[in-house]
Amino acid sequence: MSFTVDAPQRATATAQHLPIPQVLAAVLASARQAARAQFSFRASTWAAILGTILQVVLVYAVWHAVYGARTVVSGVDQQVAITYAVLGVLTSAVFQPFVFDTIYGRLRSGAIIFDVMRPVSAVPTALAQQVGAAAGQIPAVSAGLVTGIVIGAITLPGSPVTAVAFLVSLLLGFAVSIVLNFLTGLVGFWTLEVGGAFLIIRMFSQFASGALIPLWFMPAWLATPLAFLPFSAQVFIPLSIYSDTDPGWHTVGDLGVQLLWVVVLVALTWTVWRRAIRRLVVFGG
Amino acid sequence: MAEASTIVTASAASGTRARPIPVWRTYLILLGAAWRTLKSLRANLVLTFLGSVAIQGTQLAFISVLLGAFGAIAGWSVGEVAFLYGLRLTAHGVCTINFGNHRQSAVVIRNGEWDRYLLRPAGPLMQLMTRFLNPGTIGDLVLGLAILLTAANLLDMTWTLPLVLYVAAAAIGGGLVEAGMQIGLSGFDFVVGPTVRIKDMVDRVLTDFGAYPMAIFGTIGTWLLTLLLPLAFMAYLPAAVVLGHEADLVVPVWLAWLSPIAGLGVFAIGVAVFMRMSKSYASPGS
Repeated sequence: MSFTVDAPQRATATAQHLPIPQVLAAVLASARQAARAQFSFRASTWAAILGTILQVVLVYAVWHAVYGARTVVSGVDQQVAITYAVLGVLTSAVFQPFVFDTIYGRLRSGAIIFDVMRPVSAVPTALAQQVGAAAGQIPAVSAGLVTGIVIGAITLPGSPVTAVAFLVSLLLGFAVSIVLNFLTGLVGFWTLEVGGAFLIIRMFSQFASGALIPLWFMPAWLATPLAFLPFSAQVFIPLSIYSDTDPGWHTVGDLGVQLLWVVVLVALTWTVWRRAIRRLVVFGG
Repeated sequence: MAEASTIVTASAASGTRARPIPVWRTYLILLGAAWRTLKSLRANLVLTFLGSVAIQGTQLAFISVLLGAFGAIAGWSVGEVAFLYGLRLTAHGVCTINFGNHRQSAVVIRNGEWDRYLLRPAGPLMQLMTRFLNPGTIGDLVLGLAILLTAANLLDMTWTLPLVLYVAAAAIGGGLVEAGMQIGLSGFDFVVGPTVRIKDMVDRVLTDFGAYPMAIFGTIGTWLLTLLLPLAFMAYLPAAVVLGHEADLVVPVWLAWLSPIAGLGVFAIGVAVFMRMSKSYASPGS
């Protein structure tokens, strides 16, 4: 037996009938469930905490070693580079948790049918699950943050303005990354299998977002095209704002670029989602 | 009737009622089955292969940009770091191609597949290892060999036959160190529940820390990565002696030369731990 779901109209129509508090409750429940799934096994939680601490130490050692006796390379101060690299590790840990069982994993088993049949659209719940999974990384990232400050790998932001601009930029960067992840997951509506695609986009974005190494150190032929991709809006822009000692109008411009990416990606995702949901055929019964 | 009882007595004498099949043949039969499964899932094959190349490619791109901007790490030139990285990745490929299914142990225990392994006339650990052929593992080996060969050409060295054979032995030994460690960890799945996140963390530490000359982690860090986690034996010690960086070492030079043998030891210990722990297996009954 097979069901063809001509869903968007029906799903949104029913969603409108639900009172907003109920929709919010459903979205919150999805986020909470995804966050708690990160702590299902105690050994895993400790492994994540230890792993993050080790990452911070590794990055510190590597950047210390490459600078050696020098203090400034390519116009970048050693302490700035180390702070950037450590924060890069922690940021990408929050932005890219290994979560495959939101919409992507459910396409293959057909469980997606329950998501699109629910009175709340599958889109906000899937996004909420990503937010929840990111929140689940907080203990590990906090441990990394404390380690970084204790070993002197992280210097605090130069001024309160910088700190505020950084936090705003970080939120926008997070928005870019969850929308991009969701968009990648939609590939599954065509291929039924997204493990490979997800891995590729995850790895590419880690490099292209500047989470591993700032775009400052890249040759121009690489840095210029990467700056025009949405990935740099995830990590590179927030972290360059963090290490900027003299924030000004250019900072506002950077935040504007991030906002623009959020708008463009949301529009693109909306279009793809509408096409994807029309393709959905679930076999079962 | 008389004939049948003779057969029973004959096989009882060899300790089994089934007709014994040599271990190597069992392995080939299982491998062939895994290969046929793989061929039927062609659509995902290419993406998984590319995914694996992407993981390593990211790391490689990072190190290339880093070395491009900075020139050298702790006295190791670009070519030397590339050689170390290539050797480590080749060893990783040796491990994942042959023993990569260690990561599936928790799933196999939880869904009761282990029951089937115990019933069949083949070693259960061997059945786990040949459960599935991951095309991504071929990506590890191919990329590792490509980097190793490129780096070997980049370096100003004469590659004699004994030296080439030593590097090959180091790659296999390094793969066995990793396999032994991960298989040993898999054993704990029988006792304390899924260890897959711990295994992934170990894998990540090996990948991330293995790419650099160990001197950058200081003396204490180097000792930890030599004794606590035998990462040094996977690529760093053989690479250091081959490339003439003996002065960096915290262990005697003769021990560094012998490091390919460490693989056999760690592998044997890992398998023994796994088999010991597997006695605690409780079937989920499904």
